Amino acid sequence: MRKVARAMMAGGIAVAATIALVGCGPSSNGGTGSNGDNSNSGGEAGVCSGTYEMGALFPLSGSAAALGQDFLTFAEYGVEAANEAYADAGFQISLKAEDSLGTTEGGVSGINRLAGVGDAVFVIMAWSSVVQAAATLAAELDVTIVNSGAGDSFLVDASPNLVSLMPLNVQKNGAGAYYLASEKGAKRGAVIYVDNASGHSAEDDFSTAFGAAGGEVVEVQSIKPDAVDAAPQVAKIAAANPDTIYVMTLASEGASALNAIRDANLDVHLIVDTGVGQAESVRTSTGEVLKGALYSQSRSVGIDDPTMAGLVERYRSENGGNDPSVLSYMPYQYDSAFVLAETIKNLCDAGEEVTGKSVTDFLRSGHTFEVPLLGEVSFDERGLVNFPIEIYEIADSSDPIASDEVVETIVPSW
Amino acid sequence: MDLLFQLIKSGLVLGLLYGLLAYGLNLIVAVTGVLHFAYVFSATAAAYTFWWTVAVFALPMWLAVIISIVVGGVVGLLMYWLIYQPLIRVGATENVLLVASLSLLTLTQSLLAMLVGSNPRGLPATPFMEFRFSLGPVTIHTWDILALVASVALLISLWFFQNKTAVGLSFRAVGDNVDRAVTLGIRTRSVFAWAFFVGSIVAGVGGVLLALRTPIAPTMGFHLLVFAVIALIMGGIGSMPGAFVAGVFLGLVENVSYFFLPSEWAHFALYVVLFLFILLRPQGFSLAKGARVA
Repeated sequence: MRKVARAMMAGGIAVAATIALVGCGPSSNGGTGSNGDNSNSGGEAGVCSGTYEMGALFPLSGSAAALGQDFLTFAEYGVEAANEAYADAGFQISLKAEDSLGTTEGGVSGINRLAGVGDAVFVIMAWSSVVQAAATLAAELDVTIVNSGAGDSFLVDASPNLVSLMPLNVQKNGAGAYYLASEKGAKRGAVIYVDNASGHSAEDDFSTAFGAAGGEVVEVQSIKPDAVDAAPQVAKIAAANPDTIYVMTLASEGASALNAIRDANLDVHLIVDTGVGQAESVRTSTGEVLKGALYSQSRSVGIDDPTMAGLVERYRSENGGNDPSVLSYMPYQYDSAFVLAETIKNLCDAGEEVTGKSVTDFLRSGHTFEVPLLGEVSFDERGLVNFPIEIYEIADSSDPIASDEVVETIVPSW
Repeated sequence: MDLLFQLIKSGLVLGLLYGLLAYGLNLIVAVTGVLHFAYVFSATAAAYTFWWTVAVFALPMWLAVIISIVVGGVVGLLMYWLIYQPLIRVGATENVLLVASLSLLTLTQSLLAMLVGSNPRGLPATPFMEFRFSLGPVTIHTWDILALVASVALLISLWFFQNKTAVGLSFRAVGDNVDRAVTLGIRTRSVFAWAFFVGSIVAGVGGVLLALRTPIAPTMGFHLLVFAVIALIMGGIGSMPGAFVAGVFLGLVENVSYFFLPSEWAHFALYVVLFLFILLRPQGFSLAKGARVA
């Protein structure tokens, strides 16, 4: 047994080393390829030529790789389509991808590889920690960062070079909290949030908005990522006698939280994160508890949209018949290339050079874009997208997401 | 006070899961000396098999359970045959085996993700699994009962196996002293293979229970492995019942701490208990004198 004791000691060291190593994945160069030639940026008014590099910074390895790979796939589809749509404008967009690992370190090294070593003037990215980390370098590297898949409210004003094509949680959660408190008469809220930066931020958004709308958050509980049980947290929430529970988690621990709420037989308004409400695994495994549950989402593009239907069909044919992960995130990846193309075209028409600063300034100027999936898009002076937020109700979780009904549309004023 | 009783019940049930996983891991470690971190992948393999057999192939539940548990055992056996046995044969040190087990865990999880994708998979909810009843202030659910029944059945089976069968008795002989066991004519390779198979079957039971409770994913169960290792230390290496009791104890500490502390601090309480054990009782719950590190 002495040998085993020594092995246990060594095991602790090895575990630490492995955890550190697992976080280091390879870079991936997805997309359509790039010659990195932005030398024709700007110039004569009305003349656009050359290839402009768009970066994509997503987790391409590790536990979030499946979602990251899907984001990249839809970004690739978008670049292809934008190049076709803007063929007459005389320029092309190429896509270069880097692996962010979904971490702060990955965000810093990724933005450096794309915009420091590489030539990208416009980089789309997801995961709040990644966006926040990359934002610290954006101005220095003269690159526009486009948040196409992060929701944390701490991203507001994270960088003068940041624009959020995806609405932030402060917009979405505020809308849900406002709806529950003002329309449903909810007064006593409780929150279960995943114990990470996103969860903390979302809990803060919800509590603030719920309080401002006349409610009070009476209990807040956290849950570890991938936790298999949330019975203790739900028991404490039940003891506080809330009329509303907000579940701000990812799919795995979200299912645990919902199962615990179901087991506790609580009669409450339930509002869940969009990723939880739309995750097939959660809808399948949690049964009746999601019936009547709400989630908020900005302008949704479902499978009933012909363009989206075509993209999903293409994805299925290229991926063994599998559906893409959380569909609601995909329009942001697809349409990003169109936002860039329209910006380049306008800057070229005005005779301006295409740089990170000029792109950001143009985006924040209030210009309205028409993009294929999201429709009309504009940004405010802080870089936040101006979208109305829709509140969805899950009629039956065993039905497809398309059966969820919009019960309210709210234009955020916060 | 109702809340406390409910937390104690939740802690006991979760502790049964920790205890089961710790029991199986301890069995492998005690007999073979290999700290088999990839052990948790047997639970993952069983969980996925269970999902496939139930949700895709619509096999009867009892048959799906048997197939899944056996798959968990076979996966453990394959890991031994393909990785550990060749390494042991060439005289690999304990550190090499450790690195191999960690690499194996990452490799198997990545392979599974490549094969089936990383999206979580959930079993359809059924009225059977949603059944519940109240016992005083405590609500009991189907899953609670399944976890209890599986744990008790497994403990009895393993006690019988280890004490009444030749293979089980050889576990003790090899675990106590490999060289002496060899001189007595015990074929250690065969015993090691059995230890991996039986220990991984225990993980398979845990995997099936997990699949019944929550969506599954290729990277599932790592934190359960961490708790199993903690329970292994607290229970004492070589003491399977000790590891099981330690697992239940961990579940109770984790859950009851919610009564006194904010939820963010529940795991902190666990690690405080672990460090106290390491400092004050390095041999764990076991009555035997613990191994000392020079």
